[in-house]
Amino acid sequence: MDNLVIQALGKINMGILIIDRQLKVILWNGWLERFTGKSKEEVIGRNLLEVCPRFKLNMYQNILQNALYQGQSRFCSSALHKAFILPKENEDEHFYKQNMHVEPLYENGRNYAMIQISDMTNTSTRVYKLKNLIKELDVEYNKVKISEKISKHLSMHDSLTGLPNRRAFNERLIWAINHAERSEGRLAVLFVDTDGFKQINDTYGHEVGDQVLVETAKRLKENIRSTDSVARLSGDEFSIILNQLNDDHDAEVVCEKLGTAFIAPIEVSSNFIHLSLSIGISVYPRHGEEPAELLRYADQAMYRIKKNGKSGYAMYDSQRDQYG
Amino acid sequence: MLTELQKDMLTELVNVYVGQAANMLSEIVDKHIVLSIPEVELISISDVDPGDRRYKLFFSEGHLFRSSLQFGYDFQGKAFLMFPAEQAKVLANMCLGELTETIEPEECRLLDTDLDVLKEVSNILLNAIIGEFGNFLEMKLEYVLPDIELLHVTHSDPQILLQNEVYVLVLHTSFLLADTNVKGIILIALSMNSISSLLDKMNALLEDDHG
Repeated sequence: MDNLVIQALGKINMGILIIDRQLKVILWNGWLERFTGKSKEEVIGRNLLEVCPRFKLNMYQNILQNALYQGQSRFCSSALHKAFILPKENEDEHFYKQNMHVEPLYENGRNYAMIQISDMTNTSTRVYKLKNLIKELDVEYNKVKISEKISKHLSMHDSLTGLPNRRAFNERLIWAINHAERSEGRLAVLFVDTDGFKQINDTYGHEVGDQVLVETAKRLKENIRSTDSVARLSGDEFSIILNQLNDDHDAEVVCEKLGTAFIAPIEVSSNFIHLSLSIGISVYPRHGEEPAELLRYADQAMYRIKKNGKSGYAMYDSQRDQYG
Repeated sequence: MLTELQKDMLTELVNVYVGQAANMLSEIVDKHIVLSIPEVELISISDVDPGDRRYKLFFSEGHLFRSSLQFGYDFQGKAFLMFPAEQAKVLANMCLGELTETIEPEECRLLDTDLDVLKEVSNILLNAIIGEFGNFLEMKLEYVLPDIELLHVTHSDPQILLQNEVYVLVLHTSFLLADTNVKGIILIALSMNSISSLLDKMNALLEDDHG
């Protein structure tokens, strides 16, 4: 049986050595022979500090003393320590990663310490790679999240004016109607069309036309509350949602203000361009409760202004507003 | 359970013990670590009030790092060091020189090396405390390496952490390094004999002081 135990110690896949209270090596197993190239005949009987100089450090001497005199077991992690036993002296202590267990042993009233060395070099490399991989994945994940955010913003906004587009407007209108329904409030939808924009494009060119649209968006935004929304639906058509109105007249006050905001000409490349607005108004819940319905009624009211000489605003009137 | 005088005495004793452990840790990780036990109590785990914030660790759901060390012979019991998993990760990072102030629970990934580091930290800490208690009581001790586990605790689990109704010494721990403050808890479940020995020894010392 003793022979079997000795054979097993020789084959076991970790370093095992036993020392006595004088730090004299009593056992030096096969793994240590293979790893260091030092046979047990060379090592047994010698002082551990000569065989493995790393143990000269106070910290490790204390650990050994605590095991030999206090019976304390101790674990040392490869992540916090350099290698304890090297294949050859002067080899890089950072390259080899080893965990160490120190356990007290007792026999015939004598105390010994068993030192187990497990090679963790491959595990550490794997963990290091895994950590890097996790970091890379984190970076990639964040990039994807940012690009998703940008794509979402782009898909919901008009690239020229930076205003929400028709899709975003529809979502906001649904949300605003739901909110008004819950709070039993009212809101207005304004359909805003610039007057004579085609002529501006024809006279000054598309680049100037684009700048006019940018300035139009800016003035519209500046003249509504932060809780309201303005969107560019297409070409020179804009729409505004006015939330939480006290009465229908409030929407008309905003239209007055918008009209005033466009009295001053728009300056583009030393050209002073006069622009006016035709605005149609529909009100929730008086004129309708569906988003498409409200937008259509506001559009119809805007057409009445266009037909009657442009520049101004009108509240939807089911008797008067019809296409054609 | 403990008188104020006994509490003060235990707190002082334990702080001396963990001071040694902190020095050892500082030497290993090559950074100054302050380790303190601001409060020590002797309680029956079944008497803990779930509303008491100091025991939040027991009663909140989540992952928990637990290291346990069995010790025996004359002074007998089992010691546990516990941290919420994210605090354990901060502690491991701090020892590995990867400073992180906070870790979100969902970002907490404890790798093999982290667990090894925590095993060594708990080994040093629990050895220091248990070893010194043994010395204090002049009792023979035998102990083994700590077992470490990562547990998921649900609301109904606190009792399972310590399976029977036992008296435990509770040491509220605090690791300080740079801007981090990792808080954990050490529970030392003691046999009735060991508790009696501890109380007797303390009372004898206190009587000497006042006598």
